[in-house]
Amino acid sequence: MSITHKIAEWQRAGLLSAEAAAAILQHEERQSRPYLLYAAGGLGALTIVLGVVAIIASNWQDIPGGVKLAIDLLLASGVAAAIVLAERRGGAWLRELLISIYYGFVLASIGLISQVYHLGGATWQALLAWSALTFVLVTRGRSAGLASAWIIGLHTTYYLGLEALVDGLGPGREGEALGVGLVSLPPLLCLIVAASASVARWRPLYSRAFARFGWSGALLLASAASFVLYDPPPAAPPRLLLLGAGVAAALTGVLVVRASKLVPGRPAAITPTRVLLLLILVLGYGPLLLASEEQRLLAALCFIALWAAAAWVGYAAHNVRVLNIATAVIGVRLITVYFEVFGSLLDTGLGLITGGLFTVGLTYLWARKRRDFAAHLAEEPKQ
Amino acid sequence: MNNRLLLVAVVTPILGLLALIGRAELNLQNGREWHLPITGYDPRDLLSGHYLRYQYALDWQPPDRCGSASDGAIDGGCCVCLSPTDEGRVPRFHNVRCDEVAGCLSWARGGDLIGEQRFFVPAERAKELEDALRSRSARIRASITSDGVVAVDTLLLDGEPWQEALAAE
Repeated sequence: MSITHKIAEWQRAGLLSAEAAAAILQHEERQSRPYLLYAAGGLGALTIVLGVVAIIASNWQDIPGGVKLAIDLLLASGVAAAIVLAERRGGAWLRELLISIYYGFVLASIGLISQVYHLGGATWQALLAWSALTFVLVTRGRSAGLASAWIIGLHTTYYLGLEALVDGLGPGREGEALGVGLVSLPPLLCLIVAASASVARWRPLYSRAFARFGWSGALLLASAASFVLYDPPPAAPPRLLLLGAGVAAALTGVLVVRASKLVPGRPAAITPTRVLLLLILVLGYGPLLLASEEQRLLAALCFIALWAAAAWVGYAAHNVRVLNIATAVIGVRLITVYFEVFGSLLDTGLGLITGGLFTVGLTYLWARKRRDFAAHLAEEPKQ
Repeated sequence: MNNRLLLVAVVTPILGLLALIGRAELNLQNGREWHLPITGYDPRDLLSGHYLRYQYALDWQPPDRCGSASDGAIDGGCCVCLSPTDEGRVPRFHNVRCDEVAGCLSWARGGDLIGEQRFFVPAERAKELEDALRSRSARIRASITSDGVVAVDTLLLDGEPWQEALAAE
């Protein structure tokens, strides 16, 4: 439905005065862009590019490597020039789109060079070169989409590099320990970026994307670590695991000090954020370092404590989505604990009824508490 | 300031790509040319997507100065010293320690010549190439620089670049 229809509807419902409606319409007209023109122009450009790609693809074998690389560099120069032009003309969305295309194109170009010269390097080396060459480029972007693509690219580079490092140490527990120890660092590094005041000021959408990836990754990895208590490793943890734990502790320390930057404008959420960060560190590495025997109940308690802290942060930061996700995860974990403990009863009708009642009861409690939380969050103003 | 940074941002990848091309080209031009015998990495399945999977068939010559080179299972930390044979560019291989490569005509790190290698081949000619590899002598024409970098140039079938060898059939 168009904005005009919506405004008319709000006017009829008495929500909007005629003056306000006129002002909104005037504002929207000023903001409107010739989307049809953009779409037709874009479609034309896309058709030309597809035509060029089709010609190149059908003659791929007959085109010498040098010519392929020359075409590739020409295309790269064209996109680079278009980015500068879009910036000068103030075409923000076009510039963002072109930076995204250029970001991917550089990786494809590295692949083409590898193909033409039969470079036998590892994938992580190509990704590292890509990440290094495009670092400044991607920092020029502003959108959440580009930030997410960048974060995924950096994560892929890191994890493939880590895999090569672990493989390089050969089979054995030391390599495995180094890998496990370092696997949790990217989410913490994302949170460090998100906690930067400069990034938040100049690239707010980047800051939010780093925070989203950081919190999700840290919570998932710490949750996964709690499952080590179901099947702890047979011997004492190798030294290299401590290396990862030490770096993670240092990063967590920085984050604890800068916790206020992770929940800007929400002083009530600073303490819960610090608690959550410390729990992520302790529960992420504790089971790996200390577990010696199977402790299912402790595993469930660790998991629930972690997500309860996340729910507390959501509650204190007035973030309904985080609160809902965290409470839902706790609910699901409680149900799995129930089935783990009383699993054998599932063979009987009575067991099934009890299990069903437990699940329904938990859902009812959750829905009720959610309403209370929602009411609280709606009441309390942002500080 | 912002415009200058954007200019740096868009030019850096192009300069980087040029550097990658330049380095690869220099390695090919400045190294010594050798024809290294190869066999399929997995004789039952020579192809993986667009890639021919092969391994170097290293004909080891005694003495063995860095662990055991028997069955081509050399230590990745050792180096391979190449010396010429009567066949011209097809070398003999000596397993040496990496601090003993000074007298070699060419040398490469063991890790670069052992294990699975990949060579890009067009999908539409893959089957033809796979059959040819089973019946003909296959070598990789490579250039090895003075600092031990192996730059692969092309695949040779009976001494000819594979495109020409298949076209002549």
